[in-house]
Amino acid sequence: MVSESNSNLPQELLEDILSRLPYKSLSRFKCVCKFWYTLFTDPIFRALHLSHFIKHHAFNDSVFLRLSFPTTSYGFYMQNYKLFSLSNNDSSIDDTFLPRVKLLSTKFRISGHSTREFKCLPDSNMLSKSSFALAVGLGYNSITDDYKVVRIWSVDTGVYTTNRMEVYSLSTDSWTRMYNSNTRDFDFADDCFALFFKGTYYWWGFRRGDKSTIILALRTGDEIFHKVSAPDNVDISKPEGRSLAEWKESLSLICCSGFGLNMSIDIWVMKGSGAQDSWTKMQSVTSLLLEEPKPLVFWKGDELLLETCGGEIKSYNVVTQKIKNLKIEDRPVLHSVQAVNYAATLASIKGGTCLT
Amino acid sequence: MSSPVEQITVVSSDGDEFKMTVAAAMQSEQLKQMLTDDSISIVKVPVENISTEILVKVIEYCQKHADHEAATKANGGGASDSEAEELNKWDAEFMKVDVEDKLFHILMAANYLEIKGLFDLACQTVADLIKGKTPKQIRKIFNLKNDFTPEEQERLSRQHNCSFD
Repeated sequence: MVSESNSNLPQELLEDILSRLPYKSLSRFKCVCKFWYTLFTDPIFRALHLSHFIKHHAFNDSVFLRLSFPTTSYGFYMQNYKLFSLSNNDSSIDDTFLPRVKLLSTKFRISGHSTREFKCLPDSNMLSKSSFALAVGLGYNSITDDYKVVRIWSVDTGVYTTNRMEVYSLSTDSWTRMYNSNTRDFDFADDCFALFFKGTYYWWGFRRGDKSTIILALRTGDEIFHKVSAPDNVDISKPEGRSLAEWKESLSLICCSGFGLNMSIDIWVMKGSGAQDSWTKMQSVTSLLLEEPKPLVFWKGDELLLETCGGEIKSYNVVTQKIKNLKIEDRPVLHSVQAVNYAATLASIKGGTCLT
Repeated sequence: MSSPVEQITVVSSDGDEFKMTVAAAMQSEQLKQMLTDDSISIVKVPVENISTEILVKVIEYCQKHADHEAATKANGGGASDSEAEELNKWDAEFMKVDVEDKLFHILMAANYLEIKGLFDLACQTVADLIKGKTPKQIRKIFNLKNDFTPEEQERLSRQHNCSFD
C-alpha cells in the first residue's frame, strides 16, 4: 500500500529538505504531523533554515509600506493605517491589513507577517499621566532569536521633565529600565525611528544646543546613544526629504537637495563604524523630473522606492536609471508613507519557543 | 609501486559494473578519500545501496561536473557567467525525473557518496517540488500519519489558520 522507498528517507535528509522550504510552506506544514510541528520550533532546525534563507535571499527583497491616513469616525479624528507588502517576485502589491509595527499612542504591537500573529506589549511602569513616549525602536537579534523594543519616555516628575529609557525583550516579555542613558543630551524628532540595521537602532533627532538635525545610533545592549552627523553641507532637516536605509549591506543616507524639478537625490553610504567623517557619496540622482520625491528604502538590490508628492509610489533603479510605477489598489488619497524592509521569519511573537 | 589509476569501476547493488574516470570519481568525497589514500589500491568499488538506474544518473552528474571543472581550469580560472548559467540549466534538466522516488534515491546516493553539489541540488529540487503542496499530499509523499487528536486539530486550525487537508 505504501511504497517502501519513501519511508526509507532518513530523518536528517528530510530535515535538510525542510530547511530549504520557504517560510510560508513551513507554516502550512506545521499541521502535517506532531513531529514536524515540534521540529519547526527546534532552535537547531531554525538556525539551519535561517542559514539557507540568508544564502538565497538578499535582505531587502521584501518591503512593507505603511500608509497612514486620517479618518473620522463619529466625529473623532483617528490615524488609520493600511499595510501593503511588496515582494520580490512581482511588482504587484497585496494588502495584508496586519500592521507589523503599530504605534497607538503609548501602546505598542509587534506582529509576525508569516505567522499572522500579533501581540500587544505589556504596559511598563513608566506609563502614567505624566509621561508620554518620545521614541520607540524595534530590533531583532538573529543570534539570540529575540525581538527587542527600545522606548524613551518624557517624564514629568513634578519638579522637572526628564527622559527615561527602557528596553523590552520578547523572550522575557518584560520591560527593563536603563539608568545610564544619555537621552538628556538631545531631542527626538516626531515619528523618528529610522532603521534597525546590523544590531544598531537609528533615530532622527536634534542637538540640544543649536537644534541641528542628527542621527542617533544605539547599539543593541548599549545605553549610550551616539550622535552621527550628516556629511558636510548636507541638509537632513526635512523629514520628507531624507531616509536611512540599508543598501548592499551598508547603511545609506538618502537625501534630497535642490528645489522643484531641479531636485536631486544623493545617496551616501557609511563606511566604517559611524564616526563623523565616514560618509561616502555613492551616487547622485538628477533629472528625475519628479517634484519633491520622498525617498523610502532600497529593495531588490538597486531599486529605490520613492513617493511622489502626488502620493504615488515609484521604483527607481539607480543603475539602469529606469523608473517603474507601482500600482497600489485602494490607496488612500491623503497619506504619509513609511517603508520597512523585512525578512519573513518563523519567530513566534507570542514569546518563548512555543508556537501556540 | 602502483601505476597511476585513471579509471575506477563501481559496482551497483544489482551487480552491474560501471567505469568512472578519476576526475568524475573525485566529485564524491568518499571515492576521493579512497583514491587519495595510497595504502588502498582499488579497482572495484561496490556501492551496495545504489541501484543501477540511480548509479547511472549519479555517474552522469559527476562526469559532467568534472568536465566543467576541467574546462574552467583550462580557461585559467573562474567560470564565466554564461558557463555557470549553462551548467545550472543542465542541472535543472538533469533533475527532471519522472518519479519522485527516483529523486529520493538520487538524494540518498549523493548523501552516501558525499557528492555535495548533487546533494544540494537534489535537496533543493525536492523542496521546490513539495513547497506548494497541501499537508495531505505531503503526508502521502513522505508516508506520514496525521497524529494530532481532533481537539488538537481544532485548536490549531483556530489559532494558526492552517488547514489539515
